[in-house]
Amino acid sequence: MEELKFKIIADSKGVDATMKSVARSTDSVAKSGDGANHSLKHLIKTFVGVGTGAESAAGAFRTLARLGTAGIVTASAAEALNKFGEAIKENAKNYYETNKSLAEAFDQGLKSTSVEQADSALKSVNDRLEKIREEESKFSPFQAILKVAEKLTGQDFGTKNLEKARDLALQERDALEEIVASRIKERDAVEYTSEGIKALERQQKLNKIMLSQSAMAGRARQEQVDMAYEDLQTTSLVVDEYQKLLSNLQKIDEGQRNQKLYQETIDKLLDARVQKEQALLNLQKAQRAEGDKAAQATKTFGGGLLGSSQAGRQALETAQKQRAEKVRQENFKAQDVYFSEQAKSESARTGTRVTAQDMRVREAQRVSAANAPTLAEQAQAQAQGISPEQVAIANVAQKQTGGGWLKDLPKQSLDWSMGGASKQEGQNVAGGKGGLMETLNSILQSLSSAPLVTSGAGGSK
Amino acid sequence: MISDAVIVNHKEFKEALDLYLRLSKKTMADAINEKMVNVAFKSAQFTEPTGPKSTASAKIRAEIIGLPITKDSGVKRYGDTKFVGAYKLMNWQRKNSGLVPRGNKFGKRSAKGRLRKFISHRAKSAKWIRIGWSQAAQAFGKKFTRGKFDEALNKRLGGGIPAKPATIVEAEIFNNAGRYDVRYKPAKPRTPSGAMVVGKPGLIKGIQAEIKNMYVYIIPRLAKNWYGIKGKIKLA
Repeated sequence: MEELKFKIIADSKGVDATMKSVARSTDSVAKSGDGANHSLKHLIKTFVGVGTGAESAAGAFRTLARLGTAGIVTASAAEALNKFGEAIKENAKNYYETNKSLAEAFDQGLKSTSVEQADSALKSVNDRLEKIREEESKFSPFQAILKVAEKLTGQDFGTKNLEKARDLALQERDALEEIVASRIKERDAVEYTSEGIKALERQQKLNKIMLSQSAMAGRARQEQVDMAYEDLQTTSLVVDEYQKLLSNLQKIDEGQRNQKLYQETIDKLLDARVQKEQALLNLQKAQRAEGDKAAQATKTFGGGLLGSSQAGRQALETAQKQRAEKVRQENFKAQDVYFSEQAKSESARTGTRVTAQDMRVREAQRVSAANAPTLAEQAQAQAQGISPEQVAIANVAQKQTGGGWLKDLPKQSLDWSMGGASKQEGQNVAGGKGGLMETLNSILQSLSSAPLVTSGAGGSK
Repeated sequence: MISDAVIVNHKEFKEALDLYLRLSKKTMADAINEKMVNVAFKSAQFTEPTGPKSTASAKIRAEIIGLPITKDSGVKRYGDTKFVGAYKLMNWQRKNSGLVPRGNKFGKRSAKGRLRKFISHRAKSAKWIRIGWSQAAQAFGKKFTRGKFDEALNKRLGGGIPAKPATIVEAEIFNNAGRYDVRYKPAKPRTPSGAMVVGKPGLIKGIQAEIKNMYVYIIPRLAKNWYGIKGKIKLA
């Protein structure tokens, strides 16, 4: 019979370290006494690995196991447990100290403002890590036994403390390394820009002094404008430098940034921007002052020259008269063209012949209305929130052109408003607002003069 | 011929398994079952393919040609004795399947062809071995995803016994590809055959590969736990 076979037979005692199996194994050890020595060693080895402390630990554990599960809880003063008690105490103390020192070092690293400070924090964390490793190597023979005891009693003897501390230290070390790197970046960024900024600020101060000096000395305006322009350029360069520094700092992760430096940079940038705006204002002022001065100079200088001699004065008078005549002619031409054009467009619109003189009359009516608005117009203007002149002009314009639907009617109806009412009976009342009122008045008059048909019952026939 | 093809408690395998158990947070039974399946997969992977030119088939050919050229009574033969071995095999096959043996009346050409066919059949044992390992993996609830491994047809070719949570944990995989002699009807247990020649090196290579696999898992974790080393570690 032939077959290929691969078989594994393994003892799960200790390796399958559940609560029950450990309890069972310790019970069996306690019962079988010295005969169980070999399997106990094996059990310890499976926990601890092949270490030098395994032999002594096995002996201690055997004593512990003989006490039984209940015995461990009650016999805390037993000699066999003293070793473990000391180990636990020491472990707890070390853990507290380690945590404290790690926290202090990390805090120092976070608050550090220079590369040296961050570096020293990193060094102290590294030293602490070394100590943890030493303690681990010392503690390892007891660790496995304490683990078993923890499972049996359900109490925390802090077997995982060292592991926790080591993990924490490793994490902190990584974080501090990053912080040191970011401090170096910050230092480089500040060094790169600080010299340029210093030089520019010196130049700014110099510019201000020069400006005030030139103002006091009453130098040429053009020179002052040039200086203001130069100052503006310097301040804008300062703004650029701070902007560069800020963007470099922003590249560093927010958690690792030196917050003080960052805030200072922002403040300085804002100050520099204010200075730039001030410089811009100064330049504009200087430019305007220079422009005003030039115009005034031409006016006064020229007038003074001409007024100082008879010939000059005569020449000036002649020139002024000629100018006035020219203005009058030009104005006449302009009004002529304007009113004739207006008349043309008005004739085209209404279909009637309107002359330029008519347009002049209308314009004159409007002007006069605007100069003297009526009380009604003033009240209307107040109600509508506009000026009384506007209302007056609008009313006049409405009368002149004929407002709304009335303007489109034939001219006959307008003529009718001037004549008798009997002539136009049956026709619609039309012909502008004024015409309408007159028509109504005439109708009322004719009615009042007519014989009374309703006087007396049954009539007067 | 190899008779001892049963490997129990491979020493290095157990050592690696011990370390693996401490780091993996698995129970012993689960870990052993996982590793057994891996060994079955890897044994199939490392089983050397056979063919007409492979070392396995060369051995089989030598075996057939080396058959004694004598009559059953022990009398020496005379004349053309080139295909005597082949004739013997063919007559034996006929006899097994209930036919009348034909002596040396096959014809030379026919004998040549039949011999080639016989060797090629024997040389296909590698595939049967792989099927056996697939059945072993299936006993642990894992299937081979590549290739045709029909369960009903091949069930007798291999299998396994999964481990259960207990104080003494046992698990095994076995391959029956060389166990039964299908030339008989019905098939009967086989005498030492070529299947073992091909199968055992594959199994050993599979076990070694799985040991290496376990150390790939173990070493970086130990390095991290004890020395705080992070990242990949190159294994020689």
